[in-house]
Amino acid sequence: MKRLPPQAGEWIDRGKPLRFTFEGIGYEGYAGDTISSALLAAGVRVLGRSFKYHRPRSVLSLANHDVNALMQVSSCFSVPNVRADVTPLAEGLRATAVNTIGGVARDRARFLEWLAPFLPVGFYYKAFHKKSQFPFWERVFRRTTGLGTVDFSARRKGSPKRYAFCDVLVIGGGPAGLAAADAALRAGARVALVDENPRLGGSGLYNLGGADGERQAEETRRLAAIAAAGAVVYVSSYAAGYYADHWVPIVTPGHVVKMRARAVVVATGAYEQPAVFRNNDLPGVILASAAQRMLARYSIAPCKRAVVLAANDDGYRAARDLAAHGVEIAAVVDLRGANSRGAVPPGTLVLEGHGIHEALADSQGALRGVRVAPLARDGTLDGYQAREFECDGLLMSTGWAGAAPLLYQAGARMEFSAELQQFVPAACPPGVYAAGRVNGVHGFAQKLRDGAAAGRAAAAQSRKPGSVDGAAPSCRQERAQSGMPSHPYPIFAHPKGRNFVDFDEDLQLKDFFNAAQEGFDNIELMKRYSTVGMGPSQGKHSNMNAIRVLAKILGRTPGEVGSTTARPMFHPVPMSHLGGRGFMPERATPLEGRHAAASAVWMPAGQWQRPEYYAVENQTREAAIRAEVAAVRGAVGVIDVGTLGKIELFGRDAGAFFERIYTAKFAGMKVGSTRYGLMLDESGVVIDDGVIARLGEEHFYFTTTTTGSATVYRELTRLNAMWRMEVGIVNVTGHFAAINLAGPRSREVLAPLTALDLSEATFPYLGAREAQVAGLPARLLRVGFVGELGYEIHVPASGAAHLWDQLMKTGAAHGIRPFGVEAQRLLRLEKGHIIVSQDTDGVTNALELGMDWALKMDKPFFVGQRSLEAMGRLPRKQALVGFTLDEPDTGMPKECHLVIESDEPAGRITSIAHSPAVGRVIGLALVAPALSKVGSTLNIRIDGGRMVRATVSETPFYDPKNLRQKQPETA
Amino acid sequence: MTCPINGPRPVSEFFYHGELRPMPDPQAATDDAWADYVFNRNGAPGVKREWWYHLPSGVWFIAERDTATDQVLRTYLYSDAVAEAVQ
Amino acid sequence: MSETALRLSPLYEAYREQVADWAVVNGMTLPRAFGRSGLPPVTLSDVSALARCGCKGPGAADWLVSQGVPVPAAFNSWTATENGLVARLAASEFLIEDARAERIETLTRELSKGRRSASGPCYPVLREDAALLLAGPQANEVLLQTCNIDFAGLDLATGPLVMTSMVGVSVLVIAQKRPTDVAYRIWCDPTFGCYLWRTLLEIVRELGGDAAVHTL
Repeated sequence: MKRLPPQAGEWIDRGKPLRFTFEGIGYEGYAGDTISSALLAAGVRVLGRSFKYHRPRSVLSLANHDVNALMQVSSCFSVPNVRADVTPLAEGLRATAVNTIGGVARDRARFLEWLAPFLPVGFYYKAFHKKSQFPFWERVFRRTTGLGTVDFSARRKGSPKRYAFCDVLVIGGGPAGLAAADAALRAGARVALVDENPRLGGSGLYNLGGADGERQAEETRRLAAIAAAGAVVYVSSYAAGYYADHWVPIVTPGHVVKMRARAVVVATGAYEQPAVFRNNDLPGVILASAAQRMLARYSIAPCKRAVVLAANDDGYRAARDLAAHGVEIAAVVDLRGANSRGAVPPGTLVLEGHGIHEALADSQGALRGVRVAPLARDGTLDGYQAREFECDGLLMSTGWAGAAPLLYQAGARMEFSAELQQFVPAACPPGVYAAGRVNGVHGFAQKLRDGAAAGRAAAAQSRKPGSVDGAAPSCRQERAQSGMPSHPYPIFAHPKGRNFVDFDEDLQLKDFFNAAQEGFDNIELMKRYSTVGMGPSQGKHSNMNAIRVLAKILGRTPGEVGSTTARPMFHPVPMSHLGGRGFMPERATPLEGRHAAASAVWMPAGQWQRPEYYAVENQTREAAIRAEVAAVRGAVGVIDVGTLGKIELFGRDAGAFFERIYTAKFAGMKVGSTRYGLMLDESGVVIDDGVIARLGEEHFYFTTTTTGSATVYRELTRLNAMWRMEVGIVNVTGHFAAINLAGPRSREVLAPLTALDLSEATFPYLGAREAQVAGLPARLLRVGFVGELGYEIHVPASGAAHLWDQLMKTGAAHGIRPFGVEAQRLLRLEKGHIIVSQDTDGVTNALELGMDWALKMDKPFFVGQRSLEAMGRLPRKQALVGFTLDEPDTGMPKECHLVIESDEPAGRITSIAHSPAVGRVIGLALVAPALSKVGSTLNIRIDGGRMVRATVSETPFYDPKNLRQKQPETA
Repeated sequence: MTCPINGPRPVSEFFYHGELRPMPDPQAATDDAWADYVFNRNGAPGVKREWWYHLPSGVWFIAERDTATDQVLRTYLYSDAVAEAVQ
Repeated sequence: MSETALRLSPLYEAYREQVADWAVVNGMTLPRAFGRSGLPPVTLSDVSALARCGCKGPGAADWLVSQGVPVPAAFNSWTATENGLVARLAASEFLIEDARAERIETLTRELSKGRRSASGPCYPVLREDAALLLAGPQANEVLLQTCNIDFAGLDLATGPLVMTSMVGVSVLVIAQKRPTDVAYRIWCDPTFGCYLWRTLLEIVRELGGDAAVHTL
């Protein structure tokens, strides 16, 4: 291999030499080279070692359809599994082949090939049915087959994704894709064009066929310029997959673009397929298109003396390209019979009806010659009549497989065309169009016509969906003019084997026959048992041949055998691209800063962060919480309850609406009062609770639990979409802030801030008032909450901080303390208040809570009523009870510890805490009805299997008559 | 998914509530019939009328979706469907 | 500093450490300057101090007209007024914004009295939104990283309004055509305001922009 003289259109910039090393040896290439092309130009023959047998390998496709040249590449840090064929060369790059022991030249693992008879297909399924052997072998396998090493010092790189939008997305920048983009641009569509390569043009710029190709290249360049000027072009980028409604992630070098198109043209081309014969994997045996890429893009002669194995017109074009660059052609070997041959330079030997019996290796393991044999009537090669030809390059051009994963993912119906010997789309879903080789259209002029038709149809569809669907491709003529570009069976057995179908997995022809013999004779089973197509190339160069082999074994057509599912991603996508920027919404009340200033220790509550408690210097967490609790019971405390859901209900039917959604009665509520509300779902299960305030005849304002606000609002609006009552439902959860002032001194703290008469007579327990507080329009509710005199004050969110500051200021003289969620939980537990979704779960119904006073079954209808009625007739399954621990020192149960009765679970703890006011450990538990009577004993099993005893008791535990919150002057 | 009011939006902006199922008269239904309504769902594939909700705007609507192919045939407001049915 | 004004912006906590100079607008404490000069490619500003209110219901459109408030005819559209704007959200909900607080106070007062028109009732909606202004030649780039809506493809002449999800938060977005660029107004629930501000500002800074003060 050598570098040819400069030519127009080459991708390398000879003015910018780059130095790099491979396997420790220094080389020089140019900007524009890939790692492989630079090594080929330098005459390196072995670029890697194969996965299983460690055979020497070099380029096969030079198109990322194989991974023969897989390397570990270091610049600042080391990257494993770099595909050298398509990775740009950089100054100072250091590369080594992966999967070798001792380097690619003298890989010590190459002896594995001698063990091949003991490593048949699927041997690992059979060899390791005893666990004891596996750890040893696992270590051996990891050493001999592991690909690459991870560099943990690699810098973390974020690559934020971005959205993009277009009318027509054209995937593939070859002749068909460029023609489609041109047609779509002319039709006025916004076009985006994606191509894997650094430059547009595809095969239009390398599959030249000698001197004639200049016109083709010119036309390709013209179309490429139009695309570059009018479309948004992504080069060195690929479409990773097709997702519903024309959503295509485009992987660019820096980040992922999430493209939504109105129509998509898939012009992704085809993968050239290797022929299968003995030693078809030797360095020097390459696909014809790879040779053409070497010549046109990198100005590299693939060899000095070539043999071309052809079964189509492309093979002859490649032969002419070789000759045009001065490569000697020893012979063109045509698998087809007479009269199929294409044009060759004068004097070229063409052997029709012949094939390659065997490729021959030199002492390095690279190609030195081939044995060419005539084809017998049965399609096999007659080895006895073989002739030997010396060559250091063998080009294979025997067939294509459409690069159709995106079409499959889009739901196109594919069929096998016997004329083309290729799977092609029979019907594409609306808005998806195929063009070019993937559509079964080969030949330059045909591709341009096919692409233009697809582009026009896509543009029309994008303007008016449904105008043109992709059902029947109007490409019959173009396909007919393509001849038979793929040989039906370019696959030849040999007694000594080493005829490879899948180069990633080192799968030979006999492996498929063995797998079928073992019963894995269905394409899905064949794939998984043999692992064909499961390597890094994901079947790009191997699936079609595997289907052909299986078809032959079964005596069926490839169409009948079918194809396995092609899933995203088209090429491996780096995790850094997928990671991007993470968006995790955080919700905060307007008092966040005040809490932080008071040394709040935060705890998550859904998307919110709430103060768990406020840290005090030299005080433990428990002590700080106890102090907060004591402040509320003894003086006054203040807590931010702004995370509660808050909903306004207006309108003539507001009261009637409440009647239907809550269990209690609301229609007759007095204006200026509040009531507790329990909300059920249709099955009678408790889903939420809250306080409802009636602020006017047609104005209610109510709260929901923190986690329930969105769900409740959503369900209420859905119900009213059905019931069509005259109500207005407004979710003001974030727009109102709420602060609860609680404790015997709360009246004294609030009074200076408002003109509202706070006396017991004018603002009694369970009252609701609207008034100015601290200069802000406020709603005040007197509710049970923590069991002390208290006021829940709701103000517009922007005023919350001011209100908090004023309360703290006037409260200072009374010893006011902010208190957090832990203190609130304990204070409420002392009153026996439930926490929906802690003391209840997904199946706890209202009857089990012992809150019959809240269930007004005589109402005409409320959600859950009918189910409660049915369940009321059935035996109860559980009941929520309060309990106190008998002996405080035997151990502290936690939530969800079980109550055990007769060796069986009979309930569980839902809430538990030590109560300073009561002086005991108190809690709530859901228990079997037999244990629910006051005075019953509960045996609770705690960590370590120990049992502690508790007694069912009445609730509230503290101030059972609720005097402190109802009649604070008398309490 | 195409919201009847907001137009086409990414499907992640929506919440799916379930199939539109008429509630039997609670007074008239037997316990068995009521339990069937509350707990059982129709799992067979086919075109179903479903409740969908657009989260950013709070719009509830009905989508007719072929659950075998996941194709949405049309979307409309519940009130429009009721008005249509009445006519 | 903040103790003097009655109202705080929902975004106050997100940027208070970067501001030394404060002002009070419509009773709300706002930054007077963020301390950067020049014309950045994209800026993010807090315009929460603009007075606003909302209303909804079958009679909302007619009632607003009766109050002299121009009402856009199309769903999901907005129209500029002398000192602000009126946005029609979905079918029968409206957001009214005005630099003059008294105008909004009047409307709010009237609404709270229980309004009806011939088409039906009209209910008040308290709006304490976090309101942001994203402006500059690179503003659309910020949206492309955060929001799955094709803003560049909108016909701004019709005044479209988009309710969508941005970085996981429900938002209301409109685009205002200006002489040299397009400015985007973004509203969200105030409790998500700080998160939205911080997230957008990080992207704004990556593009070479920064927070800025917008004179109301």
